[in-house]
Amino acid sequence: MAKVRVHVLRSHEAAGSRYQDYEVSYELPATILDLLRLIQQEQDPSLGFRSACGMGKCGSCAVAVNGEPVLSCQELVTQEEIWLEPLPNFPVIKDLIVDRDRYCNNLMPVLQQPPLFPLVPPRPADDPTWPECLECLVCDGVCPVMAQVPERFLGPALLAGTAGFQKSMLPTAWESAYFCLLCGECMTACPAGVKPNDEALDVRRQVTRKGRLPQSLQRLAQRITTAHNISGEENQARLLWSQQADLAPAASNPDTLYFVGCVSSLYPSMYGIPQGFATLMATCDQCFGLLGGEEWCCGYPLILNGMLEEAKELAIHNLQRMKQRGVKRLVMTCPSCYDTWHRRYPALTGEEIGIEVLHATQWLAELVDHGRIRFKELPWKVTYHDPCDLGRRNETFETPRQLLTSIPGVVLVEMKRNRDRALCCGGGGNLESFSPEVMTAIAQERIQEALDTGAEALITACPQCQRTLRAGARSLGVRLPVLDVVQALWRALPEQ
Amino acid sequence: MNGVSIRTTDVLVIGSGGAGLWAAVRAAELGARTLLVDKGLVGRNGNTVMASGMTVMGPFCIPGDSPELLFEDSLKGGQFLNNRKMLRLLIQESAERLAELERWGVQFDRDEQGNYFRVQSEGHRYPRAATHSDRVGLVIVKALRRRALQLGVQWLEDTMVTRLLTRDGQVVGATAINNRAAELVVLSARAVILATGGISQLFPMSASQAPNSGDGLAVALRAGVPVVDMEMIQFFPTCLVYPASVRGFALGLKGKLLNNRGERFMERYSPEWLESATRDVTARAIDAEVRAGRGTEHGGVYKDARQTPWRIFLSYLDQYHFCLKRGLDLKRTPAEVAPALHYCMGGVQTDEWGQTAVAGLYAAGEVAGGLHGANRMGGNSLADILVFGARAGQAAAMWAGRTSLADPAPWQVQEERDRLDALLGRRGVVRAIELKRTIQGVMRECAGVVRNGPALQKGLTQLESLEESLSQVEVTRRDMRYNRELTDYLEVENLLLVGRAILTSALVREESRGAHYREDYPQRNDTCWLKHVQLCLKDGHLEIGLLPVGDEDG
Ligand SMILES: Cc1cc2nc3c(=O)[nH]c(=O)nc-3n(C[C@H](O)[C@H](O)[C@H](O)COP(=O)(O)OP(=O)(O)OC[C@H]3O[C@@H](n4cnc5c(N)ncnc54)[C@H](O)[C@@H]3O)c2cc1C
Ligand code: FES
Repeated sequence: MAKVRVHVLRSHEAAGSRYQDYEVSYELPATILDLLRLIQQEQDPSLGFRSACGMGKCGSCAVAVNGEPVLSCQELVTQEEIWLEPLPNFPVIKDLIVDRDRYCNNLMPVLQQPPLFPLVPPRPADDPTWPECLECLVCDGVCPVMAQVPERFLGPALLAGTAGFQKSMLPTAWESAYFCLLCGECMTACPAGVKPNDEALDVRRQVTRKGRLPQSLQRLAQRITTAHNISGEENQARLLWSQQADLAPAASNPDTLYFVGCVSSLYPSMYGIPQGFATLMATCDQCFGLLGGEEWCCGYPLILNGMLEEAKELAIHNLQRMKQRGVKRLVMTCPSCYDTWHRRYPALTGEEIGIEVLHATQWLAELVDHGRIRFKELPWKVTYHDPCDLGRRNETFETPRQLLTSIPGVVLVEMKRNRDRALCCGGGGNLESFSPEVMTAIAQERIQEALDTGAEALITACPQCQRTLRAGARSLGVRLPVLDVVQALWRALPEQ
Repeated sequence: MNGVSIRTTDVLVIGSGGAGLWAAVRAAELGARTLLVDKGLVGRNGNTVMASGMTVMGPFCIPGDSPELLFEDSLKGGQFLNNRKMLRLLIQESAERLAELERWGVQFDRDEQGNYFRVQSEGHRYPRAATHSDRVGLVIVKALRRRALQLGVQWLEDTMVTRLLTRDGQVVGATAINNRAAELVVLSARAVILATGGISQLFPMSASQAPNSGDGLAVALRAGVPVVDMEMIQFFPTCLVYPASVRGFALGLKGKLLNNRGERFMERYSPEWLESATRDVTARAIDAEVRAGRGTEHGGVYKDARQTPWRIFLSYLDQYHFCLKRGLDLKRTPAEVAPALHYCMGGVQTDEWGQTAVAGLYAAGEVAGGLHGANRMGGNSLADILVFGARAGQAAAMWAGRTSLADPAPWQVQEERDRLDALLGRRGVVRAIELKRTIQGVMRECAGVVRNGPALQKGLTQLESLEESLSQVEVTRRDMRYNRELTDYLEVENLLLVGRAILTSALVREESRGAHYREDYPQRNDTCWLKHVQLCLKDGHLEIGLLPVGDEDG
C-alpha cells in the first residue's frame, strides 16, 4: 500500500473554488481515476468527476494533473502529492466535471454542411496502429489559443476530428487554422497519438489554394517571395550585424556555414544573437561561412501559410548555394530554420539534403564538452523557455539547459510548464502577423510563468521566441531580460 | 429547491450506447423528433466503446463460410435457446448495417490486398469479426454520434431515467434526474426505446467499469413488462485478476491457458476447441482449475500470449499497451486471468422490432433478451445492437407517427417527485455504496459460474433482506446536482430487483445450459427445458412463466 496527498480543486457555487485535501491509501499501480473513485467511495461522495470505461476508450475522464491535462484513467500515480483540477479552457459544471458542449456545437455545422460524408476522418485501413481520436478534449485543454479566444477558435480536437472534411468553406474553420500556433502541445498531450497540428496545416493549404489567405499573411508572403526575407528589406542587409561588430566571416570557403535566418539578421534588436554566436566561435577558433545577400528565407513562414510550392523555390535556391560552396555542415541559431532544413526540406524537395544540420546549441555543447570554451563565474538565476521547434519538435530539451548550467554560478530554475509541456511563446504559426493581440496575450502568460520562478532572466534559444517574449514583457511593463542561450554564454566569456 | 421541467418529443431513446444511438439515428432519419438521454456522456458511458470485434456476414464472408454456418454456430453456442427469427435477422441485416457505417466513412481493417481482416471469436468456426484496430466499438459510436448530430437529434446528458410513465397500457414517457440542471425532468413522448445496456455493476469483478446497473430492466419490470432468460449471465473467461487497478479487464488477446503446473488444461475440457471454446465452457474450466488448487497466486490461471503472432497483437494493440503501461508485458509474461461478469443474455422480452408488451415501448441492445440464448457468441453483440437498434428506431418512429401525444398522468409524476423528495437529505445508517458491494458479494457467491439450488435460495433471501435496509440508506445532500449518494441509491434499488430476477430464474431452471451451470443439475435437459424463463413483476413479486422455445418463429 502507498499513500498520496491529493488536492482537488472543487467548485463551491457561492464561495468560488478552492482546493480540498484528501489522503488516500492505494495499491500500486494505481491511476488518478482509481484515486478519485477511492475518494468518492470511501471519503467524500460529494466529489464530482467524470469517468466510465477506465480503459482509455470513452474519453470522458480528462482532468489536469499537476497542471497537465491527461486522461485520468491512463495516468499512473507516481508522486506523493498531487493537484487535480478540471480540464482547463472549459466552463466548470461541478468540481472536475466540465461543460463539453462547445465541441458538439462547433461540430454540428461542420457535419451538416454539404457534402455530407464521410462522418469520420479517413485512415489507411491496413494500418492497425493508426491513431483514433477519442474526442476526450485533452488537446483543447492544453491549447494556448483556446485559453484566449475560445469563441473564435475551433480548437485542436475539432481540427483533428474533422480531418479530411471540406471545412475550409466554414469561416470559423479557416480563421481557426490561422489561429493555431502549430506549437505541437496538443500532439504531445494527445493520449491517442493524433496530430491536430498537421490538420491545421492541411486546412491552411486548402484555404490558400482557394485564394483566401488572410491579408496580413498575404503581405508576409509577398515580402518573402519578392525580397526573399520576412521584413522586405534589401537582402544585402543580412550582413549588417557582422559589419556593425566587425565580425566578418573567417575563411572564404569553410566546410561549415552559418545560416543566420531572417529574424536575427534583419531586426537590429536581435543582432546580439549572431554576434554572440560569432564571438563564441572566434574564442575557440572555429570558422564558418555566411551566405550574406545570397541567403534566402528558409521558407518556414510560407510553409506555415500553406504555400508549399513557393517554399520549395526558396529551398531549391538555398540548397543550390550550399552545393556550390561545398558546404558539409550547416549551423543555425534559429530553431525554425533548423527544423525547416532538417525535417521539411527533404519532404519539400523529395530528396535527402546531404548536409549535416545543427542547431547552434548542439555545436556549442560539443565545444564546451571538449573544453574548447570556458566561462567565468556568473552568479545568475535564470529560467529556460523551450522553443517549440527545438524542444517538442526536435526533442532537444537538455542540451541548452546543460549549456546554461556549464556557466559556473548559474542557477537554472524551471517554469511550471517546461520541456515537452512548455507553453509556446505565442509567436508560433505566423500568429504575429495574423493576430498580434492573441500573440501578446500568450506571451504575457509565459512571462508571468517566468516571473513566478523568481528568475533574473528568461533564456531561450530562438530569435522569434525572444522577440515575442520581449514584446510580452514590455506590454506587461515588467523588466525581465529575455536573452538567447548564445547571448547568455557570450556574457559569461572571460574578458580578453 | 430542485426544480421540475418538461421535455416533449416524438421518440425518446433511453441510453446512448450503440443500440440507443442507432435507434435515435433511424428514428430521426424517418422524420421523428428524437430525444436521446443518457446518465453519462452520449455514447461514452456504456460498454459499446470498449468492444473490439463485430460479427458480420455478407458477400465478403471468407471462402467456405456462410450465413447458415453462422446460424448453426450461434444456435449451438446459445444451446438452442436463441430466438431463431431474430438470429436470422441478425445474420441477414448486419451486413447492411456495416455497409451503412462504411457509407458514413468508417473503414474497417483490411489487409494489403484490400480484403477485410477478420478475427475469430470463441465458438465461431470461421474468423467473422470485422475490426477497426482495437476500437471497433469506439469508432462505431463516433460515427453514430456524428450522424445523430447531423440529423439534429437532441440529447440530454448526465440524465438518469428513474421510471417509465404509462397510461392505459401505453407508454407516454419517463421521469429522469438531470444531474446537470439539478432537477427532475418529465420526458413526454409518443414512443420510448430502452437501450440502457447491461448489468456491469451487479458483480464484484466485472469486465466493464461502466456504470450500467440494469436500470432499463428494472424500470421495465416496474412498468409491468416481462423479462426473459435472466439466468443467462455471461462471464468473460479471461479477465485480469491482478494488479488491483485493472481487475476485471477483459483480455481478448489470444493465448494458451495454463494452470500452475504449466498444463494446457483446455485439452481436457474442450479437446476440439481448446481456448476457442465458447465462453461458458472456458469460464467453467478456469473456475474448476482454480477450485482444484491449480490456480495462480491471485486466484486465476495463466494466459500465455508469448507465442501469439504479432498480427494478432495488432488487433489488440490498445489492450497490449494498456497492460504494458501497468507493468505487464504480454509478449514476455503470461497474465493471471479468471472469469468476470461480461454480458447479460437475458433481458426485456421483445419481438423482432424491439416491441415489448407495453404499447409504444421498445427495447434494443443488451437490455433486450432472447436473441443470444444461453451464451452470446463473441462479436454477436455489436451486430445485435446495430441491427436491432435500427429496427427499434424504425418501429418507434412509425408508432410515433400513428399515436398522439398523451400527457403523463400527474399522479405518476407527483409520486416520483415525492419519492425523490423524501430521499434527498435523508438521515440513515447505511451507505448505498456499501449495499452495492454487499449485493455484488451475494451475486458472486450465489449466481456465479457454478450455481446450485440452496445457494440460489440463500441469495434470494439475502437480497430480500437487503431490500429492507433500503429505508436505512443515507442521502446526505438535498441538492440534486451530481448527487452521487442519490444515484447510488437508485442504482442499488435497480440492482436488487435485477439480482432477484437473476436468482429467481436460475432457481427455476433445473438443468445446466450454456452460461447457466447448476452443479445439482449438471446435465442439459432438452425434454423439459427448451423453454425461456419469463418473469413479470406483480405487486412486488416476480411471477414466473415458461415459454417454449421456437414459438416466436411462428
Ligand atoms: C470490455 C468489453 C468488451 C466487449 N467486446 C465486445 C466485442 O468485441 N464484440 C461484441 O460484439 N460485443 C462486445 N462486448 C459487449 C458489447 O459491447 C455490449 O454488449 C454492447 O455494446 C451493448 O450495447 P448497448 O447499446 O446495448 O449498451 P451500452 O453500450 O452499454 O450503453 C448503455 C447506455 O445506457 C445508459 N444508461 C444506462 N442506464 C441509464 C439510465 N437509467 N438512464 C439513462 N441512461 C442510462 C448508459 O449510460 C450507457 O451509455 C464487450 C463488452 C465489454 C464490457
Ligand atoms: S474512463 Fe474512459 S477514457 Fe478514461
